[in-house]
Amino acid sequence: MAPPEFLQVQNLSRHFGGHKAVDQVSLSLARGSLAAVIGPNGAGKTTLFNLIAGALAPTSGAVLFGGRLVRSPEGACKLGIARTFQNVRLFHELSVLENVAAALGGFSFWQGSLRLPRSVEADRLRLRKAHYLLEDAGLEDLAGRPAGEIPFGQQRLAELVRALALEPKLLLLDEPAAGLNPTETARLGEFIRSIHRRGIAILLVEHDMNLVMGLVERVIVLHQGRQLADGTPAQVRSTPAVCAAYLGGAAPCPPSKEGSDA
Amino acid sequence: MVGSIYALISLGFNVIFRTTGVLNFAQGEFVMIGGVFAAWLHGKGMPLPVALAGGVLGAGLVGVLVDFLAIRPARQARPVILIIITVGVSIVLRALAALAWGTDRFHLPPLQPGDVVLGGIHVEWQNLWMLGTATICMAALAVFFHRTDLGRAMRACSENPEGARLCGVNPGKVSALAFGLSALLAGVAGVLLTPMLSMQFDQGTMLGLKGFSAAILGGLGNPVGGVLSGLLLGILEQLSAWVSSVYKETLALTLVVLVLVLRPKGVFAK
Amino acid sequence: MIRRPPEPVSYLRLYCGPAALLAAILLTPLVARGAYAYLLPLAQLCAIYAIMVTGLTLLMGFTGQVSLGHAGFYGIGAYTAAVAVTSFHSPAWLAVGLALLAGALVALGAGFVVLRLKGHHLALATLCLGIIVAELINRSKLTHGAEGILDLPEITFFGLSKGSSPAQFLFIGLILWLVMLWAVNLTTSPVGRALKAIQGDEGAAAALGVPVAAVKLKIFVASAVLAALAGVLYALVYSPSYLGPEEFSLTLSIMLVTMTVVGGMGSIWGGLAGAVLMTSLHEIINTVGARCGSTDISRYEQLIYGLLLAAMLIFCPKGLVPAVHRRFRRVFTARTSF
Repeated sequence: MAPPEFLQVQNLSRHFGGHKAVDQVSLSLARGSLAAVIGPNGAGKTTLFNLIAGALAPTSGAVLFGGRLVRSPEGACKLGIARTFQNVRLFHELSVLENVAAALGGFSFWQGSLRLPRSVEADRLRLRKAHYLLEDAGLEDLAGRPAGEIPFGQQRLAELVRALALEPKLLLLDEPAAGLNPTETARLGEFIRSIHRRGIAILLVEHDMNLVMGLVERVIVLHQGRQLADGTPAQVRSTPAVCAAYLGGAAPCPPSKEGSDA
Repeated sequence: MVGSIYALISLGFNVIFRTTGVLNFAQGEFVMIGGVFAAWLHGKGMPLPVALAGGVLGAGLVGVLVDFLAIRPARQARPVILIIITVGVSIVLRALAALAWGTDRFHLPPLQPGDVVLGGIHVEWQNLWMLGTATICMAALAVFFHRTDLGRAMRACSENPEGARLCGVNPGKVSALAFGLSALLAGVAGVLLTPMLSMQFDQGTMLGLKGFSAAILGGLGNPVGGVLSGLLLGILEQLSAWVSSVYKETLALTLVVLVLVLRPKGVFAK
Repeated sequence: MIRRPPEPVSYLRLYCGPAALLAAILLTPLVARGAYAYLLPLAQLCAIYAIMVTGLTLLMGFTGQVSLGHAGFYGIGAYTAAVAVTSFHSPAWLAVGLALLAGALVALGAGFVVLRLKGHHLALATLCLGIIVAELINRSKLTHGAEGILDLPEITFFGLSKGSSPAQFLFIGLILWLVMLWAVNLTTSPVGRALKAIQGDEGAAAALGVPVAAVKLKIFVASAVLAALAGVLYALVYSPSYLGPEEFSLTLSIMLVTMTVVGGMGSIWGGLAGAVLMTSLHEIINTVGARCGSTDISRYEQLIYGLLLAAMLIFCPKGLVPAVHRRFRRVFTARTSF
């Protein structure tokens, strides 16, 4: 008997007034998979992400994670979903280290008010853990800097580390490579692979076809809110409908065998 | 129908907000200055039309001065700061009014005394004048902002100051114009209100607050919504006065809070 | 190079500030003696406002929620205590408890309703709520309306604040000190992190498991309880024998926000400095006015106050206290750089 599906999206729709941003999308993701959602601009990718992460309520359909309904960002977090955002949303007032530590909890007003040695020790462990996580990503030198003041590429990485601090089962990455130069993109790809090797499922939205096609096992194509294709990179690349949808934009399936640039 | 006054005040708010993004807490004081100055001039023997014009223009002038001295130097500050600066301005204006014109109540004769019977209800002429003026002002503003070059320039400036600058529009002048225009509107409101309720140096605060509420309830940046909310607020106040004359302010404000919570985008949002 | 992982602030560094404050509080009655004894009531008022400003700094500066109606909670605290003592003849400790409870309950209700709003909507809502409270105080029979409550008996807390100004100041000052201690603890704990996270980005904070709504409500209630506490101190210690509604007006709400902003909003010590500064401003204006031989200074006082307020913020929009702090640091580090 198979355990309850990991991530299950059932007939998910989200309308904004008359506009169908997401239209009857269904998919399921297995534990530990590495997949990407692609599609031309306006295809509904970020909306889909927001729905899965609980930040938006669906007009119809449901998102189930481990058999439980995803209702809110807090709920998604508790179920084990973590995410990054298209425009990096770090906490500017806090240092990079504090940003990561914010994912580690401990928000009891009582403990905060009394500052007993036990809670101080617990916080010391939190800060230490946050620091290790930053070391893993090579960001420990920037730990003390205010998050708004570090270079953009590092900001993206820091946000990723912050999401990882939640020890999620599913990581949603919204255009993690946007705005990165090729070196940074390559490093990002490596980092994502290392996260995947730890057994965390990753779902990403991306425009950078080089990164996506070389990285993931499964590609889901959205167009005008509907699913157009769902399979391995090679399968998707050779689907005519996908190329048609991308006409004029970054097509994943040019005449040549390699992917074209975003 | 005090509602038309709130409508005018909210118009002034919206003009400043749409053009400069500033929430002007001193708007009520512009109203007060319009009324008190006009009444003072009239008291000194000036004929009524001159006194009224003087009040309105005086308010407008104060508006431009305020922009020059207080808002311009602080353009870059956070919104909270700008709000408190306008609060400081309102304190200064109140104090100056008290010093210049004293703390007594000022009166003005109505534009047209007496009342008329409309559908069985006695309506004072002054009320109709208020309503009529508010409508004319709203229409005039609409024409100004959408049809004239200057008005369009002002709108462009609010959306995109840098781009507007490239096209030869000067944001500083636009800001001064916005404040001046808005203060003129407030002056008109003051001049119309004084015959009915008389004006005192400290009345500006509550008036400004009500106009501000009307602007927000109508959706900040939506002048039509603000006007309609202003009229609505006037009606609500009358109703509250019916229910309990002692607690009429309390009831009116409670209703404002309720609307805010239940429909934050404004009563008349799309 | 192996870098040492970061630690939470050590107790020693952390409590430097509170220690200095304690010293200042204990020294003040010694300094303000004889010819300067008239300064003690001013110092009491500074401390009372500072308690409120600390709460507001946490609410506005750390969590990013604006409240333009905090004088309302101040009034609720003051009047609940006063009415309890005069009309119901309750003992002091019960009056205090009721006052704090009243503040907490009203804040709970109001916060639940209003905290989902943001920006100028929240500003307007709190503004209205503050005025509603002021109006109710002004008009209700229970609070004796505009006449105020007369013949408040002098309250002694365990015989501590009996009679003398210095004893009263020490009492208020020590309560302020405890409040600052609490605030220092809270802001350096993970809760402080949560507050700043909420200010930075509520949505992202929620996605990270920060209980946003609960934290916002708790900090709102905390700041309200602090204001109510200040109100109790005002009614029962600072201004015995009379309590009138004029103190709890919109003007005070705005002034409290100003004190918070002047202090730079991001630091509770800045808030303390802001409170002391602005409360003393009133006194300074009067003294300078008297020195200049002007008998009519009260007429100009509001004018000067408004001008100073506007000028302070036009030229130091990040707050007066941080500006001074930065100047100080520049002076002190100038010699050690290169």
